[in-house]
Amino acid sequence: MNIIDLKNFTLSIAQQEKTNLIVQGVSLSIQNGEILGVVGESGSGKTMLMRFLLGVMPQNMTASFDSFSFLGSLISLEESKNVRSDIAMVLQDPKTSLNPVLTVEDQIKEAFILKGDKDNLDEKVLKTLQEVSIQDPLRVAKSYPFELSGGMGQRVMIAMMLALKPKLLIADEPTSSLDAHVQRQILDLLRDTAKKNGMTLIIVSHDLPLISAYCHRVIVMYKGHIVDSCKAQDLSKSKHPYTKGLLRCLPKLNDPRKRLSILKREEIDL
Amino acid sequence: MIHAENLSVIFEKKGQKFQALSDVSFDVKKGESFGIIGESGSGKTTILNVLSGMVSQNSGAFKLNGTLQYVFQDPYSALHPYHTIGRILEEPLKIRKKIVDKSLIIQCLKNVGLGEEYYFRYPHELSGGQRQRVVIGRALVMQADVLLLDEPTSALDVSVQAEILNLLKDLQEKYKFTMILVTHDLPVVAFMCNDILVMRQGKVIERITSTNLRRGMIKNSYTKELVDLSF
Repeated sequence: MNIIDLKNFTLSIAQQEKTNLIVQGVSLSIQNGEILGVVGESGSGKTMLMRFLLGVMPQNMTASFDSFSFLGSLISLEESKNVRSDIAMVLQDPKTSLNPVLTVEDQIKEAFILKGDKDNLDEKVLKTLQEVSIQDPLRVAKSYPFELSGGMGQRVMIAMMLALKPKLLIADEPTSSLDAHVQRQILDLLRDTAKKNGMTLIIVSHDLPLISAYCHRVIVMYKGHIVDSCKAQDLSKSKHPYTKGLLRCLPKLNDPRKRLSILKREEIDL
Repeated sequence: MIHAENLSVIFEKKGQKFQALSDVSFDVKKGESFGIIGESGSGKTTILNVLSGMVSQNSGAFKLNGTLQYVFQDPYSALHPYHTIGRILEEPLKIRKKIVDKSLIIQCLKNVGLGEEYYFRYPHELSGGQRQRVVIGRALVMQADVLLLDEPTSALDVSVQAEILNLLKDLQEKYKFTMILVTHDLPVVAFMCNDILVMRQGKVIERITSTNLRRGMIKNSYTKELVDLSF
């Protein structure tokens, strides 16, 4: 079964008598339990597409689509503007995404209460923190966000989202501010919890090798279009000029070069 | 060009001591591209801060023959939002009481691949890559002997990163400046630098050439780990 079926989705913003298209005619189907990677440069529309799925689009933007179904039920254009409680999102920077004046404990409790769960919250908070491999849940529960490292903050964010028991978790650049070691730990954690809870996972990133290593399937976005889509392990063999161009730009450890290739945007047809 | 011996830095916060650098020694030759790699908290940025005088060492000493300029990580916060690009590029010259000549600034813009028309633009009108070109231009306008680069491309898309790294290589060939590049990205440092210092928890773990790094001729297990972790 598909958790998401979206046909011909377009998102636009009116700026000074001009309409700019942020996402243009995108169709997207995501299978239940799949790990989908979304890659693209800044301004490719990937984050806006994710915000639409979640139902938190900026108000000055206008959406349109032929059909949109989530968890098997059709959603009208008007309904698409409401937040879907079965989807949760982990953002890039835990420092700015967590509430600075609440302890970790109180923030995770908020998530439980939002789900109508009000019993034994202390215990549940500690259990959720353990689930995201936090060694010292008691101390972390009483901490404020500024007292946590980047990796720890990201774990707290994930714990909070897991408390919502989402069917779909969207991770928007979840590790781009983290070190290599911590990055691996967080991605392993996301992958394992998705598998354990039967949760669908979308990882948004501009890091192609990372996406290729952790996802089942990848879509590549450029200027508001999905220009390429393939199995994650086949990403390096993609025939699309844009995907190929992005991969060639990357410096590689085992390939000494004098210069890096530059992406030739004029050669890319949409 | 640079000779550093037993640099140690201790930060004190709320009575707690934190050893940011302990006994760090290294030499950088003139015209060399020298890389420093490590995770956050490894002390790599502290080395740049000591060299540039923003932090003073608690013990040890360094010798520097020439002038320094700093290129910051985030081109979005490194440029004054109310100043035009022209004024931003003129500022270091004014501070040093040098002659400010518009043709010099326009030449500087051209060197970093931006046209004359950028002189009157503001930072918010530029993309991330263009802003980083301005930051590099500002460092070059003083004709510094040493360029300190702190994660110069980590805020940029990979396609823009490729352009900026190529630009830095071209400029170095042309102006023969010495470059110290701090990053946590192993493929980037191996592409840019011949010699790499691996840092961990304020200590030098290993000094390795990029050729040996590629060939897997690595002495330290932590360096090996870093290589295995890079995708």
